[in-house]
Amino acid sequence: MTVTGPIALRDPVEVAPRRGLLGRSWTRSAGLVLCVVGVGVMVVASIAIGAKSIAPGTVLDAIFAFDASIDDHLIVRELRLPRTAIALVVGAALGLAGGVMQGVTRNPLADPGLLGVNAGASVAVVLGIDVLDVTAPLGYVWFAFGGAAFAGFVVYVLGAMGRGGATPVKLAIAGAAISALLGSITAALLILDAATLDQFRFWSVGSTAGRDVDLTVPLLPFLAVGALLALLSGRALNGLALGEDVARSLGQRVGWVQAVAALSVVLLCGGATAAAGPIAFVGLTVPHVARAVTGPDHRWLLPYSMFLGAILLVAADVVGRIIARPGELEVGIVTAFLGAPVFIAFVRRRKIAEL
Amino acid sequence: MAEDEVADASLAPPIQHEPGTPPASLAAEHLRLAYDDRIVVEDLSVAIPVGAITVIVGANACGKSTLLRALARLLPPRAGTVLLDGKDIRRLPTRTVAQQLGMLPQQPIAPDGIVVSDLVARGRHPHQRWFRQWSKEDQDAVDHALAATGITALADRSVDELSGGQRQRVWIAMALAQGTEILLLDEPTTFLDLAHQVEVLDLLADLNAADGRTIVCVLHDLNLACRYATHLIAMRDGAIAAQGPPAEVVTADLVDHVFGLRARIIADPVAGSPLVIPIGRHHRPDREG
Amino acid sequence: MGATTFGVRSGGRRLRSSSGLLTVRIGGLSTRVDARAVVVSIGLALVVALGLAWSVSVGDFPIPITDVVGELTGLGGAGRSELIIRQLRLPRALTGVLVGAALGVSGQIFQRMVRNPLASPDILGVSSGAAAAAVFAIVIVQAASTAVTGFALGGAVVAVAAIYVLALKQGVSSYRLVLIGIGITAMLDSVVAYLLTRAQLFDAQRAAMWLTGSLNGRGWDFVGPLFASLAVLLPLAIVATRQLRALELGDECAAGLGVGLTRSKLALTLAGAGLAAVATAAAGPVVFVALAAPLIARRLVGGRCVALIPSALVGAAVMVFADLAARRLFTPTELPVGVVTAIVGAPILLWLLVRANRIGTGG
Repeated sequence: MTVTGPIALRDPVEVAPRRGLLGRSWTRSAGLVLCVVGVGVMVVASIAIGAKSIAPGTVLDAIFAFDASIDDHLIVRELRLPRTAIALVVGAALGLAGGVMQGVTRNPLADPGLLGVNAGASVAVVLGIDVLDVTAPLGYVWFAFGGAAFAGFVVYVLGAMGRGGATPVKLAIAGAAISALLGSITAALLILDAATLDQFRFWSVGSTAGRDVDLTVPLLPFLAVGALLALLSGRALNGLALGEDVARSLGQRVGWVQAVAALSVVLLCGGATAAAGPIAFVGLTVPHVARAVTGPDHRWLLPYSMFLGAILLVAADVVGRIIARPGELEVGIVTAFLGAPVFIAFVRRRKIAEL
Repeated sequence: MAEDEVADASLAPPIQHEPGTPPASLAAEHLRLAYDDRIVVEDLSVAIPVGAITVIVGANACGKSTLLRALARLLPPRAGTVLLDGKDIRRLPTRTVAQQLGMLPQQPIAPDGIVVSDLVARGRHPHQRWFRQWSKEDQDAVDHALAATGITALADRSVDELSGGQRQRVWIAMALAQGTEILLLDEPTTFLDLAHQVEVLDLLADLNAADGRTIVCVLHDLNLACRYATHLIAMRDGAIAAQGPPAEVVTADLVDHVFGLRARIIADPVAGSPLVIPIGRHHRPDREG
Repeated sequence: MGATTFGVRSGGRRLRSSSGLLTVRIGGLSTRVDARAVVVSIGLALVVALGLAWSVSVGDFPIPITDVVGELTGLGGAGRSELIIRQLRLPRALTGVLVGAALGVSGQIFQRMVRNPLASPDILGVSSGAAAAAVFAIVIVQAASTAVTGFALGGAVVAVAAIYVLALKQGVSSYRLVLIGIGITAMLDSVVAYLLTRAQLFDAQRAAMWLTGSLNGRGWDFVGPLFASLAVLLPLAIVATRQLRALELGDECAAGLGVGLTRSKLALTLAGAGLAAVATAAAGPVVFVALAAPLIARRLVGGRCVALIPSALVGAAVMVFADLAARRLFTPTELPVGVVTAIVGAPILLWLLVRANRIGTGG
């Protein structure tokens, strides 16, 4: 029976961490290897499948015996390989960021899209490119980081105001409100400049296609640092899961952990959004799937989230290519369309008192 | 507490009751209560004595709050019925129920910035209509409720500024303004210090003595329950282990059975009711002396 | 606030009752009215009237205010300007007033029902439903302006109905309603983004224009239906204020006070979503108004009443002045009103929320 009160006590059954499907260390390691294999499979699929059917033999030739004059080879090399790579990296980043967000805010609904972080990065990028005429890729990437950090901070402050602190529902509402506001600011800015509208309407849909690889490569160091920080904070997040007071009494430096986690989220989400545009629901659903497999131990949860995120996004990209032949559906649309029902089912299943 | 007025239960708003009819009664038959898949209470029947103070006690998660919420029509039973005046409470119109049965839930949340008199006034909701929003009866009921709980001086203060004990009195005043014969309170004394706990329970006892209101509450403190209850219901694992006057019901065996606690029972030197003295591992009678 | 006390004597003790609220009793009918709210409402109504007159008088062809007032009050004398006033500016300004009023009331209803100052009909799916349908109409169906409005209305209604049905699980928890609304909004926003990428640039521009929120070209054919909807939904909302006061205490207390939870939440959602749907269909999604107007109204009126009418008036005032600024700030370019509310509104909203938190009226 749930007791509501200033100290929201959980049902005693809930407090004991649920063991995931893979309870033991060796099974988890095996599972992780399986994930890596899964990633490999998805990569192969992504290269082999596309809006245009290309024979497997030709695909192999394109990789190992590249001939620039053959169209199909060009498609594989210039289009599919880069987008696969981008989807891998962005998916991993978003899955990881989602896991860290959910851990640090103790909020099962945390997602970079839902908490306004993506919207913040987008607005800042538009501001950078359009209003301030920043063209160098290393230039506007800082805007993305700044925007992500600012939006995330504002959402957190708004969600934590008033009674009860930063509950999941209040954070979700704050995130939605800030996303809406930032979105309309972006639209307002674009109205004033028709040329950028034409560009932006394509950018604002999260997509792995048509992204300049030269723009993505400079982002990799930032993403790598963010990923490293995230993976290293696994143990600390386990401590935070018990509540800040308990964590402090166990000797954790809570403020430090939160700052590092926030930094990693900013780097990962800012980088991902700068690379592929705003993509939602990956950071929300992937950690939950990972948690069902590994249990709540973040030291395993985060690596799994990373790989599962990569798998999910590459899969979404492939689906987008198959579903709308001969055209294609951008990956941001696919994740929103598939992710939202999952989110809704999740909300329906949960007891509201827990949120 | 020096600045607070003295509560005067005789000033409580009159119970809205049809003259000539017997006082409202509350009972349950063969209740099965569950949350999602978990059955908390199975085949429970109880009759709440009219005009008495009934206290439900039991260990954590024994189903006492669940039972109270079912009686208050907040939790639909999976099986069985709750009877208000012998009629199935779920068949009665919500307004009618609200005019006879008032409930104070655990840890209620007041809207931000609300003033005490406004909050108490909202208790008049079941008696109002959209065209009759503030009759003389409403005004009188609120005034009397504030006086009965001794918070007239706080009438214009914001509820957020009040102490825990004062805030609890405000909620009780709201329930009083509702003018119901039956009052259900879910753990009204949790999170209050001892002085305020006794103050709230004294107020409830006065209300019961003044106009025979039926009061049912869930309490954590077994000793306070013994002191104030006319009728005690002890629950364990979703069933009633024993019920009756505290002096008859509370024995060392019962305390062991219901709470898993070894204890010695003596007569309370102040009130004469049973006083439960717990025996833990550290202080065993054979260890001392 | 004046400390007018009404005394009731009982056993020699003087029992004070609440001050600042005027009780009005006529026969068996009675109600309580907050004196401060009445004064504020009158003031706001004057502000709205002033804004209306100013908005009509200003433009590429300036008309003296005296002429405007004369025309509006039927005293005549505007001569040539009559056409401009009557056919162009007045209906546009009136649309702004009605849209603002509808958004203000809708926002207040949802903020109280969900007990969160950031809850607004926009994140509950009304805007995105209307947007998806409108962009579909513009890009795919190539519909004319009035048809787009019809599509938008239909889209908003369908979206809200879907959200309500999905949130229905042993009754409707306000939190669940909000969360599912957020999910559906994300889904519909992706539909809009998709349609925008598939459109011809010209259509995309039309769509983007609509998406920002604009009062351009809103004539009498908008004012009529808006007024009719408000005339139906606003009284419904006001009658439901009583239920809202009880719902504010939480579902359990409200049920204990005899409120039929499902019925009253349905009525309130209908009123709130209906008003927002109509307003969004008429002017496109104007984000800021439904969030900020209720907060401003609450600050002006204090915490004693639900403040639906002050919210309506604040919303109307915001729309009228925002549209005025949008039209005239960067002459000769006319901006859509949504640009002004977005850019000016965001910092104001943040400031309001931070202030509300400090004083303890937020959260």
